[in-house]
Amino acid sequence: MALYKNGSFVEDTWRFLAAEDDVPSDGAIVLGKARFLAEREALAGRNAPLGIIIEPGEGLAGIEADIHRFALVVLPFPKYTDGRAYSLARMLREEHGYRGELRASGNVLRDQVRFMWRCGIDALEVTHAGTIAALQAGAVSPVTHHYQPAGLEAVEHRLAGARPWLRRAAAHP
Amino acid sequence: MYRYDEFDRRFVAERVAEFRDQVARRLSGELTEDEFRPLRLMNGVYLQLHAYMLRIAIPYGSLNATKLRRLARIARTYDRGFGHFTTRQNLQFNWIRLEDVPAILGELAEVEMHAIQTSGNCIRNVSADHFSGAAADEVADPRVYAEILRQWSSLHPEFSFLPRKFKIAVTAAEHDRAAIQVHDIGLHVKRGEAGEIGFSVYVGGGLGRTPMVAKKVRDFLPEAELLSYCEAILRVYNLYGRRDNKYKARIKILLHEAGVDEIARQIEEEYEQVRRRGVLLLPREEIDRIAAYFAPPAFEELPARSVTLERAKALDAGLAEFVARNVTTHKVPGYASVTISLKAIGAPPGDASAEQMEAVAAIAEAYAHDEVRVSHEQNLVLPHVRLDDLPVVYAALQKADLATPNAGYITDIIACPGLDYCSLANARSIPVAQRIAERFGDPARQREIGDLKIKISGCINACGHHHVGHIGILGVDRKGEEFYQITLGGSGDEMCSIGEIVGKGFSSEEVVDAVETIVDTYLKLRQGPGETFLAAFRRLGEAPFREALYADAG
Amino acid sequence: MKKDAKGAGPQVVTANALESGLVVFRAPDGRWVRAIDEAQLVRGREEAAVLLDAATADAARNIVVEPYLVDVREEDGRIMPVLLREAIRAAGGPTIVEVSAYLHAAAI
Repeated sequence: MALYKNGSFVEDTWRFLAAEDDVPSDGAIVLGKARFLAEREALAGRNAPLGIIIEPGEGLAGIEADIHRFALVVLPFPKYTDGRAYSLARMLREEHGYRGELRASGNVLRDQVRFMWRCGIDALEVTHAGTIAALQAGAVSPVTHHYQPAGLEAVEHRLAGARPWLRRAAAHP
Repeated sequence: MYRYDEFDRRFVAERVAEFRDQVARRLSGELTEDEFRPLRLMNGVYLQLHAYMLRIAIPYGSLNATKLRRLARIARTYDRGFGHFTTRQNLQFNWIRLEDVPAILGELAEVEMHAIQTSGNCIRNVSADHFSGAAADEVADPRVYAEILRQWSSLHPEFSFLPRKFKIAVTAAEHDRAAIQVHDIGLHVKRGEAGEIGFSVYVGGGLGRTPMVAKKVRDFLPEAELLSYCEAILRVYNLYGRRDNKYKARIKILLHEAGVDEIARQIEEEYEQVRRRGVLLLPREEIDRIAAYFAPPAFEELPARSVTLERAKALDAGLAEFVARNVTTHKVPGYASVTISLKAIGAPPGDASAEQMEAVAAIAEAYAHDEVRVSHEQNLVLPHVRLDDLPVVYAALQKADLATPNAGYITDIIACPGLDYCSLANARSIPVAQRIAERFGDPARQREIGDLKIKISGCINACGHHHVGHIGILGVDRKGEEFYQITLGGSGDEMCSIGEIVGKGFSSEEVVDAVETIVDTYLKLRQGPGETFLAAFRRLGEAPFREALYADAG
Repeated sequence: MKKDAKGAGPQVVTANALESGLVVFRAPDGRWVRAIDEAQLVRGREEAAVLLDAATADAARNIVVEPYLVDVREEDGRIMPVLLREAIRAAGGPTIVEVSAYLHAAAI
């Protein structure tokens, strides 16, 4: 497993809690949505970064008010043809104003990476060897012209005098 | 016609480069077939029965001479000299080598064409009324909105991995020639009380295994909010459409299971969010900028009646017949729209040779303001022809074997490629269409029968739209034999209805006789020639047809 | 739609060539050939499994796509697929006259 963020592969400093693990008193931890909901009150007093895993079928229901508590949201892509997490990513960024790390995990192919970035995902947990190589080589996708605004507006340009829905890619995260 | 600017050109060039790389990765073995399949499908490449098939997007069916000639050249260079026009106004080549696809895409890009999203679980080519810009009954040109939707949906980052394919159609006339009610989203462009443009929005229509007529979710959506509203519909579908069973994954099933009121509520809720951000609202000047591409050509002021045409008709019964059947009233006096039937008796429906494409290109340039359309009925249309020019146009069409005067007749059959080409099919479609056309090919007999739409699909996926055929024919496999199930009373227009299965299926040998029995029953029971087959069926119900078909079965 | 072979009688393995997409059959010497008559004929579950394994390995080596077994029968020394779908594939083209040939014939 390799974590790609801000243009390079980095060490993952987050601890993903297994079901049988107790919540440690300090350190950055990541929990599933169900566990977060079950232990929400207890977690409230904890003074360390908190991350959440939202499976595509779980959606954002029930955690809308908590979104600003998270420093990391992990969106698994169980199959690369399952596109639900793209919507979740945009809703987190655009409707809930989430500004923390938004991480895709799963069998990420390089052909999806552009879509992920455009939906506001800014970190990738990659297992596919070809994708890792492409990210290292900076050869993810040649498509830089886009026909719709999406996700993190900050990383794309509007074009002066052109159709307002057009975007040009700036440097990717 | 829409013209690419520098942005559009670069976008397509980048996409061609990306696909060239994907093909190279497949051929080198970096991508497995399982990984490559969704990527190739998103660019219209199928692996069919005999070879790869490439489906090329013809946005809302709009072509010109340059594009048609390029399609002809591709047909000749990379295929077997012909192409197949589809019910979604696209073109398919049946004999393509994977390694040639990048070169073909390069050739297409030069004439502002591509194959983006002609397959895959994404938003497909947006279709529209083939008489757009010419129809006397339209309130605006629906291509303007189809083009805006085309742009917005192109490589949409959120909606490229939907539960299933997603089809949008637009019409701007009360008489629906775009079959909007059997699309995932159907848009009916209307004018409000103050003359302002808006849309009735229909959601959840579709054919396939579970045919459904779309439900109206909005009666009048303001023009500026088109993209915001579609984005909300797509988001609800992307999140909640079923992904556990591909046969239940279309939005029609979501609507059916959750109820139209609940889905409409979810759409409106999401829509509020999208609208609040405001980023997708369409400014007036941008709509006008797109609309300018579709400005009508410089029509001349002409009398409504053409003496030249009337004289020629009097001398040539063939021309008179052609004009009566294949020529449609235009909104401008002295002009007409011409339907070029791709249903010559005995030829495969919807197919055109490279030479025929070139002939149409030449005619369009000389006599039709360089505009050609593809209709969802798998014919071509010259939308703007002077009545005075109809005799020469007819003569030129005749020379290219394209003057069959059967538009809307029983021999103007929609048929999917079926088991002759398609790897999903269970039975052949084209030979059945050909045999029906031959049986009813006599001009007097077709005239006598009048308007009658036969639609044939070679499997339950219903690419031949059999559910909305006045007579629908569905090919099935029964213990290794081709069998054909008949449905009656379907219709894809504004009075949309799904055909009813009339009884047990017929063998390949029996099916043409069965169609003849149905037609004879109609002729016997109709209240005069003014009552069409569909009207008669709606009055009579299926009982007399079933009795006639199965009388001898005991 | 593709159907799994029943395997009651003789079988051959077919696939589509990766580069051209054309229908091919696996010959006894391991080549992939266009003519079904040159295909390796196998009988019984074990022989079929060995042939399919070899074909699957060819798919993994990116020579062909999606190999599978097809039921056939022998008629006058020729190999004939049992199912219509496979007969159409083996014939190398549709059962109809394509429009370009149709128009050509009409012109003569």
